[in-house]
Amino acid sequence: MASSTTGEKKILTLKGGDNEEFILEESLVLQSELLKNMVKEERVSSIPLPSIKSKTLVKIIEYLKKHAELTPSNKEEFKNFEKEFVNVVLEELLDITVAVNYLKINGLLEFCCQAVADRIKDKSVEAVRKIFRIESDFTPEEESEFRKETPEAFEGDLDDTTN
Amino acid sequence: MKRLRRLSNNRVVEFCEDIIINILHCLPSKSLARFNCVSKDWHKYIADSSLSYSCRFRRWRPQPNLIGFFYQSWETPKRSQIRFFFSSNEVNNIDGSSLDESVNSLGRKRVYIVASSNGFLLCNDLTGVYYVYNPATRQSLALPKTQIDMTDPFVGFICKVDDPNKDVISFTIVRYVMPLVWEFLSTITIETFSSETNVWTANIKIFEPIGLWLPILDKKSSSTCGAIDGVLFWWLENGRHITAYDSVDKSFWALELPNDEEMVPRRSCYLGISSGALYFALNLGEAITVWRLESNIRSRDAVWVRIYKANVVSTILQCPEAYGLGVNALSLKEFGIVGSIGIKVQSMVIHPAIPHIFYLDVRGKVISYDLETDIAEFVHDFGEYWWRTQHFKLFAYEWHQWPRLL
Repeated sequence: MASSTTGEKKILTLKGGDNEEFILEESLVLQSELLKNMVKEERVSSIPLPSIKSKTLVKIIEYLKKHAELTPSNKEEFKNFEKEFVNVVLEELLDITVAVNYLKINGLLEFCCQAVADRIKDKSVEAVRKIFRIESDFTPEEESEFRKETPEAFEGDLDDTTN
Repeated sequence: MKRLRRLSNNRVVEFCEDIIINILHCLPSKSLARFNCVSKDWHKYIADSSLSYSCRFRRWRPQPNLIGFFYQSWETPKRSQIRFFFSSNEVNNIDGSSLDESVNSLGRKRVYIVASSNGFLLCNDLTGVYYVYNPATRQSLALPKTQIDMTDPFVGFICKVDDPNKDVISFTIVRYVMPLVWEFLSTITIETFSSETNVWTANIKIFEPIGLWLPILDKKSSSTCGAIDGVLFWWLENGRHITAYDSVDKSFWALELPNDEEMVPRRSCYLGISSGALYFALNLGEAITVWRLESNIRSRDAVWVRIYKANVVSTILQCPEAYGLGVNALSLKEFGIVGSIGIKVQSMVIHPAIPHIFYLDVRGKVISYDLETDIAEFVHDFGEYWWRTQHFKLFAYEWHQWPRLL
C-alpha cells in the first residue's frame, strides 16, 4: 500500500472504534511508538484502531497536535492544556490511559498514570475495586483479617467512583 | 494476568499489568498501604519484595530520611496543639501536604507526644492511655491501661523492625518515677510494655546512683533522649548524671557526665542520640561544646571525648537577617550594644543520623548548624514569644519511603 501525499506532507487516516475516520498528518502520529512502527514498516495510509473509542481518539489527537506545537515559549500554556486534558470524568480518563498505553505515547502515559493516581489515592479499597472492576480474590477469612488490621482502608470515599 | 473492564456499549477495555503497576508507582506510600488488600495481584505488585518491579522493592531503603520535628508547647494555653516543621526546605515536597493533614488529625485527639522512635510517635491522652501512632499511614494503636498510677513518669520508647522482610514493627515502652531523695541504694518501680506480649509488667529495680542528688522534675526531659541497642538514656535538666536503663537485661545505672574543666551542668545542656552514639552538648548560650560517649554503652564507666566546639552565635551574627533575627540585632545596636547580647541558643536537638548537625532554638527561630563547616541555615520560625519556645521539646520524625506498620 502506498501512502497518499498532498504537497510535502504525508497524510494518514486513523479509524476509531465507531468507524469514524480521522485524517491527520503522518508526522503527528510518530509520537506514538506503535503507529510509528506501523507507518515505517508497512507504509500504510489507514490504520484501524477498533479498540479505541472515537471520543478517546479525538482527545488523543488533540494532545498530539498541542504537543507538536510545544516550544520553550509556550511551555506554560502547554502545562495548562495538560491539566485541562486530564480534567475529565474518571471513566474517560481511564479510557484515555488504556489507549495511550496501547499506542505507546510515553510522555503522555506517565502524565495520565499520575493523574489516575491523584484521583484514586484517597479512595477506599471497595471504591478502587469498583473503578478497576476487580473482584477480590481473597478468601472471606483473609478479607476479614484485612478489615480487622486496617479498618481505615475500607472507610470513606466509597461510592464516589466517577470523579 | 489481565483485568477486564466492561464498557457501557459492551466492549471490553483491558487494564494490563503495566498500566496498573505504572499507576501504583505514582501513588503515595500511604495509599499503597491501604490498596495492599484490593486483590492478590495488587498485593503482589505492591508488597512482594522479591519482584524488582514491585513498589516495595523500589521504595524500600534501610536508612530513613530525617523529615522534620513534631513539637508541642507544654506551658501555654494551647498546649495540646501538636505542630510539625520540616528539617529543611528540600524535604517538604516529599509527602508534605498529606503529612500536615495527618498531624492535624492527631491534634484533634487531644493527645500529648511523649516520645518518638524510628518514625513512630508515642502519645498519651488525658485519661492516661498510651497510643502508638504512625504519621505516615495514620495508623494508631491504643495500648491496654497501665497498671500503676504515676505522676509525670519518665518514659522510654523503642521501636524497631525485627525482620527486614516484613513491615511490621515491634516496640517496647518503659515508665518509672524517680524517688525524690536518693539513698545510697534506692529502689524504683518500673513498668514495661512489650508489643510481643501486649501486657504491662511491673518490676522493682535497684538503682545505684553515684552519690546523692535531688533531681528537678521537668516536662521536657521526662522522655528518653533515645535508645541504642536496647539501652535507654535520660538526662534531667540540671542533673549531675545520666540515667541508663538496659531493656534487655533490665538493669538501671547512672552514667557520669563529661568530666571536663569547661563542663558545668546547666539547664540548657543537651543529651541526644545520633547514628547509634550518645552525645552530650554544653550550651553556654553563645558557644556550644559537644562530647561523644566512647565507652561501650553498657559500660558503667563513661569515657567522653570532646569532638566539637563552636561559637555558633558569632556565625549567626554575621548575617542575623538571614535567620529572622535582624530587627533584634539592629535595635541592640541602636542602644549602643554591640555583640550578641540577647541572641542566645535557648535549646538544641541533634540530627538523628548526622551527628555534626544540630538544630538550635535561637530566640524562637530554629536554625540548623553544621559544626564541621560552621554553616548555619534558617529552618523554622515558631511564631511564639522566644521565652516560651525554650520549653518546647522537639521530637525527630524519621520518614521511611516505605511505611512500616504497627
